[in-house]
Amino acid sequence: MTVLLAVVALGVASWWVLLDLSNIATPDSVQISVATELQEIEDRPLVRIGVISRFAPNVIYAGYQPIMDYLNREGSYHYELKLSTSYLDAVEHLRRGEVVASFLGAWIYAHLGPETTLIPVAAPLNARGRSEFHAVLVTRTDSPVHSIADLRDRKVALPSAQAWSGNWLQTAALARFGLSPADLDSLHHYDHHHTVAWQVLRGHFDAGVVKESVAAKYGNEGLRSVARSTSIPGPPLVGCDAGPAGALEEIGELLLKLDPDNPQDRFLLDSWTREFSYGFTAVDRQQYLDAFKTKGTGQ
Amino acid sequence: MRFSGLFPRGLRARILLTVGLTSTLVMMVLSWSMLYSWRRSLVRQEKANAQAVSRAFSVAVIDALIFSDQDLYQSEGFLDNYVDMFMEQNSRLRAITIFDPDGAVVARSWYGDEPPWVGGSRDQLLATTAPTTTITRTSAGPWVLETVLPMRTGERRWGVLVLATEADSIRRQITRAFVQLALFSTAVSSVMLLLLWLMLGRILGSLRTLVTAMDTLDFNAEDIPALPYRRDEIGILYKHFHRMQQRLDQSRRDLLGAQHQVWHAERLAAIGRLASGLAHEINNPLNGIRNCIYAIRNDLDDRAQTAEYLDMMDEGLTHASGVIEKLLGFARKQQSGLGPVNLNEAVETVRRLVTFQIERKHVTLETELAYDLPAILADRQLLQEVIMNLLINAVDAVDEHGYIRVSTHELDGNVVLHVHDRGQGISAADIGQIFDPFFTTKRTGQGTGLGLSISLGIVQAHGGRIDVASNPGEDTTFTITLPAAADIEDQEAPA
Repeated sequence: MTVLLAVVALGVASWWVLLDLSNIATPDSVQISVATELQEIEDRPLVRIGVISRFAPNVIYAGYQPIMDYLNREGSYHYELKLSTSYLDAVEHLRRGEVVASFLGAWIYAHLGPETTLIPVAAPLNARGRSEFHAVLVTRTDSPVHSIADLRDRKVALPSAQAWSGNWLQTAALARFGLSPADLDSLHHYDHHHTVAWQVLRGHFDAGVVKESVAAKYGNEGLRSVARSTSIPGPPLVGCDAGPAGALEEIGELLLKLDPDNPQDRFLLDSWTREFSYGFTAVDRQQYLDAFKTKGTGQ
Repeated sequence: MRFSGLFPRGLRARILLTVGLTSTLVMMVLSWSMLYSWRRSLVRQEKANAQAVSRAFSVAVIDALIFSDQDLYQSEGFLDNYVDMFMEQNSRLRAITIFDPDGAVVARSWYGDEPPWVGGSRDQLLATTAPTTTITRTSAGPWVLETVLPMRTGERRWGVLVLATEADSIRRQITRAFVQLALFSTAVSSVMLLLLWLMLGRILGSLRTLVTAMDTLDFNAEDIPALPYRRDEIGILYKHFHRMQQRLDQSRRDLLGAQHQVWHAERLAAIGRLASGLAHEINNPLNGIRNCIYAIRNDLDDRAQTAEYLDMMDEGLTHASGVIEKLLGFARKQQSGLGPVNLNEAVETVRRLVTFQIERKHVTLETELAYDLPAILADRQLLQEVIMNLLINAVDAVDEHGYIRVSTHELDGNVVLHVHDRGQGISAADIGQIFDPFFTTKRTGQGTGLGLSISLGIVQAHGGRIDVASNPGEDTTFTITLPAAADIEDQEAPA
């Protein structure tokens, strides 16, 4: 009798546990916020800012949308990104007034020449607090290339033909060593600096040109710097007068007032992509025109 | 119902039930704890997987939505293709729904009018700011793991992605694990109980052997048999029990030895008390012999007188020799031994020994001995000592010209001896102590106080008893009851 009672009790307990274990329903814990602020922003006049989409759109947005969010919070317009598929497409958007401002490459803006009506509003600072960068010739650490002069009959990878790094070598640096693009075995352009670095690391090319931040990033992976350009002005945010009144000034004002030494601004900048995390500085057209003359050779 | 009444009485069953229930409960609690912990991990893992899948899928969806927003592509067919491909590649997916920021469905895997999600309203879904995963049972029956992923880039909202994954397989895994653990626990418990049953059988068998050895312990045996050798704790118990047996046997032997010495001392004390009477019995024939020698010496020539006196002297010497022989016979510490004893003969023997004490006090001693009294199995010496003690005590108790009666008879298979005296009796205060060792009411030097105590021990050793009845100031009767020979075969023989 005792054993029977015990067995029945254990059986009932086991059955209850099985039912409870099988009930895997979990309570809702939905985080909800009423986006009234967003609705208010969307009611403002729309101002589009262009950006060249050489990466997947969500990657571009991850990098630039935080700047739009900042402008929306601090400004009086509704700022949105406008993707362009190329540098030329971006310039065209500016000219047509589809965008008020656009993040352009330094080469593209300099290439437009002194006649352009596009105004450089600001350019991002680097870690040294200056708005500049360098193009760097890199090879694998085991490569026999130790100088630009060694590039004869070598295969070279370059970034976009509309990028400064993609033009520095072939339009200026090679000539200083008595070479021309024809003396190379081949030249190939890729959309991204990272792709150039990977191609060189994989041995598909004898050398490549990348911006210095990429060269530094892959320095520990087997890339060696062979030569580098002189200082090149940072890629500018360029505007036109086609948009709502005061919009371009507001953009410039809001970006330039960010102070990396201010803890509040520092906190904000740290949440942005590294390219914009040191703040912005004002630039003028002449810087780019001067740099374009020397093509990064300093001469 | 008392709690203890729930348990069986047998030690083996009680141990099995207690250990079985305890171990089963412990195993169940452990198993359930493990299952609950494992279920939490499983559900957490499934949720993490679902969120990871949703995030991976959302990358392509966001790209498509951006393309649509930038008028670079027509996203409708684009997203539907994504959804179809993703559904084909993930067999556990049951539904995908993509909402734009305004709550309109821009792509879906289902064909009805209403989306098959189960948790929350559409407004709630659109207001969700962090990925959430819930498991619920749909109204149609199946369980669904639903992930709601708000698609945002910074503060830019692209919409909400809702993925519904089947969750019945999770429940099947849990049920299977439960059954496997239950079977495992049952098997382990069964094996454990079987082993325990066998082990208890061995232990209890050993204890039964020990109990049997205790029950059949025979101190009269020449050797105490040792229990089987074992190397475990039971073996130690056996060994200690055997040592205890040996110590008990030795103690019993020492006790008997001491007891015999006490009995012998008491016998010598009784002889001392007999000595004055016996000396008179010897002295009378010696005086007669001395007179005869005197007469013969005065008339050496009277040969007829000499012959007569020599015969008288021989008779006197024979009498004295007989008295001494009787005394020595009583006092000699003979080898003890059981044998059939006629109680009447023992009474007669003792009576002759105390004749002088009786006559000296002019006591009337009546003997009323049953002629057909059956024999008893006893040690004659010890029995005579008992009778001697009782008779001397009676003589001491009565005054000059007192009256003593000794009688025997058979009663219900027992042989009964009464020693009755009309002496001063025993007071009520003393009667409870008279069998205590060293208790005496006699003057110093007249008694050791051991007589009755030893007598009681002897009678009890023969399977009998002593009763006393007394009327203070009037009389006392000691009654010894001993089993007849036919009835004492099964009794333990006295040493």
